[in-house]
Amino acid sequence: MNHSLLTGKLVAKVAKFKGRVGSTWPGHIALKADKAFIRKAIAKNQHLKIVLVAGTNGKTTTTKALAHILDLNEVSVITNNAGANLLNGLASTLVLKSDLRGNIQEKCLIFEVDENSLPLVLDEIPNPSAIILLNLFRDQLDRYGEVNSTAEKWKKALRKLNDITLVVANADDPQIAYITSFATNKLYFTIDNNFKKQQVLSHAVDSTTCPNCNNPLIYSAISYSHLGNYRCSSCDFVSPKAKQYIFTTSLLGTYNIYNLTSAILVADKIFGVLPFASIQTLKNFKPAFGRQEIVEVEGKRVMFLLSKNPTGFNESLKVAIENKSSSLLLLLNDRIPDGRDISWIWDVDFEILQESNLKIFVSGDRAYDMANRLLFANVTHEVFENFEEAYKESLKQTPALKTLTILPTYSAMLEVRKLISGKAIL
Amino acid sequence: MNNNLKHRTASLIIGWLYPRLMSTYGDRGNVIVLQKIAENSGLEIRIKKLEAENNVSELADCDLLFMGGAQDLQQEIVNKDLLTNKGVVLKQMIENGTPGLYICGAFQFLGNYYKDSYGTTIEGLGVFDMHTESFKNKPRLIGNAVIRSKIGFRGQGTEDSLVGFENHGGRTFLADKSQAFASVEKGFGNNGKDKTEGIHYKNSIGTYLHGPILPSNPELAVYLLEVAYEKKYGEKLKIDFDNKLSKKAKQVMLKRNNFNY
Repeated sequence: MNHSLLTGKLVAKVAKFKGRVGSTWPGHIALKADKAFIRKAIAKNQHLKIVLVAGTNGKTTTTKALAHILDLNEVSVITNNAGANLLNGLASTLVLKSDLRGNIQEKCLIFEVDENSLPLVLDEIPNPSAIILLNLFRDQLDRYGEVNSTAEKWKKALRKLNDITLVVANADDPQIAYITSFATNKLYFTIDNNFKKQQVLSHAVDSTTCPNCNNPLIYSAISYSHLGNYRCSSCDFVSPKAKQYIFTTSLLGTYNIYNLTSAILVADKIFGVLPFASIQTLKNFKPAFGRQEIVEVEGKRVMFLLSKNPTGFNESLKVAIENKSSSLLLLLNDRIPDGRDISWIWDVDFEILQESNLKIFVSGDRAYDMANRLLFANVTHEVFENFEEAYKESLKQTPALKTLTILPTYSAMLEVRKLISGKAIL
Repeated sequence: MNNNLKHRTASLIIGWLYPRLMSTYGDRGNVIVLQKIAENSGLEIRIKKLEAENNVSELADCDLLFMGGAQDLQQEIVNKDLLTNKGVVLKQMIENGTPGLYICGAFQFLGNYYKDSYGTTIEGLGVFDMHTESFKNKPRLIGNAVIRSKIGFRGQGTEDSLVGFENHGGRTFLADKSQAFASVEKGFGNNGKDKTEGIHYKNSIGTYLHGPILPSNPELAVYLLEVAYEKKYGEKLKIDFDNKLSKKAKQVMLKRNNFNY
């Protein structure tokens, strides 16, 4: 244990010295030196309360929101960096936050966990205090495989949990509700019906059949994608009873109401922070990197909405329209962190842009594919091969005090951030 | 309006098989592209969604068929409906030359059988003379692909190269390799070994290419529509179609793979 910890720390030092923030390397090395590094580090720090956050969309924001609540309520917190959410990322966080003896000062660990890695993480951290399950959407099929297979893996992993772990699950996602129905220590969360105003299911839905018996589900209300109030047309599978809170937030998008609700619930049940206190602290909560983050450039507002799968993209388009952005820059890359298959852009309902007054600009590695998608959606746009040119032109055409909303895939977000700040972020 | 259109009120019905259950990987894009290209050339288009609960009689009057890929669980439901309900008519239509495009899971369904990694054999519709096997220790075949088809496509300046993205665990083996839809220039194709990609049988095309394939290669959509028209009206139609954006998108992918175009 100590050997692996020290090796990891050394790697972190070297990486730092070389000017790179080593967010996964130290952990990678520590795990190489000792496969059980995470398990041992956790065992050595019995005082730690651990919360895992999993789901296709919203992990980073939820992790950050819960950390924010706990921070302001005097619970010291460690979180992993967004993106460092595989085993090596978790191990890295432990390496960096341990002292040379392997002791961790903070009281609580909040880890966002990659969908595929959740079963592996539960092998290493068998009984966390809580596990938040946000949603399951179609995402990067080349990397994650299909939604049903992820749900199946989660179900198996969850069955191994004992009563110590509180499962906090989204009642409005049928898959999530189903795979958690067997857990004994669980709480469901939902949002107010006022947020469930979508009339019909959008195209990019994944769970339209009952996870219990495969017959069609009937929705009485939909918030977005396949989330809502449902019951099976055949068996007795139905939305479970769930907690909800009434609060206002400056964060845009219905999806964030779910994210914040889950954070408030865990703060209450695991850390004893009362919901009204959490709601109070969330008033000055700033969203996570690239998620509705707003920077000011040349007297204009530039908002980032990381958009990497059909459901996320649909919600981002709605936010851009509702937020009265004056221009929209779509950046589509197909590198490994983005997913190399871009077929999913045809599952996004770009047609809703026809009615908007947004000026639309397109760039990225696969700019022409995106432009082609817009052409077939009858959406007027300008396409640029050159990334920088696209950004400059879209900013130029945004009037003073108005908002340019950028919808980038992951690597495109890093690229455009670099362009704006003049330096690399990660 | 296309000048070649002899029947002013010409119309085509596109049958979209199982849009709810079999629609991953942006499969909808294929239907959008068929519809838009046909409408731009003056054809009246009706898209008929055919789910498992729809009666088989609704299938019979379709002029062009499309069926996409799916998740395993959903494939089960569809397989049942095909074998017990719509299969006979579908088979007859394909044999009679109704053009169609069958992607990934749909392509596999139409073969003789599918043997999963546990050795269980699932009966197929037996329209395409081929079978598919999944092996326990072999990885999924995932990545960008470039294939070259024997069908002479017109008008894109990219000749017969098609681009797309494949993502399949099963390996498909054609009984007669000369029935292949295309040869593999880059990527895995049917099985990663024999350089065949998909199948071209009568007027039906089966393929593993996502992308989706028609938005990435609209000349194939033009081809399918022209065949459907000729089949229905007994005369040829030449659809004029020039899409600079899809052409450029394709060039980017061909260039990336060091292909001339």
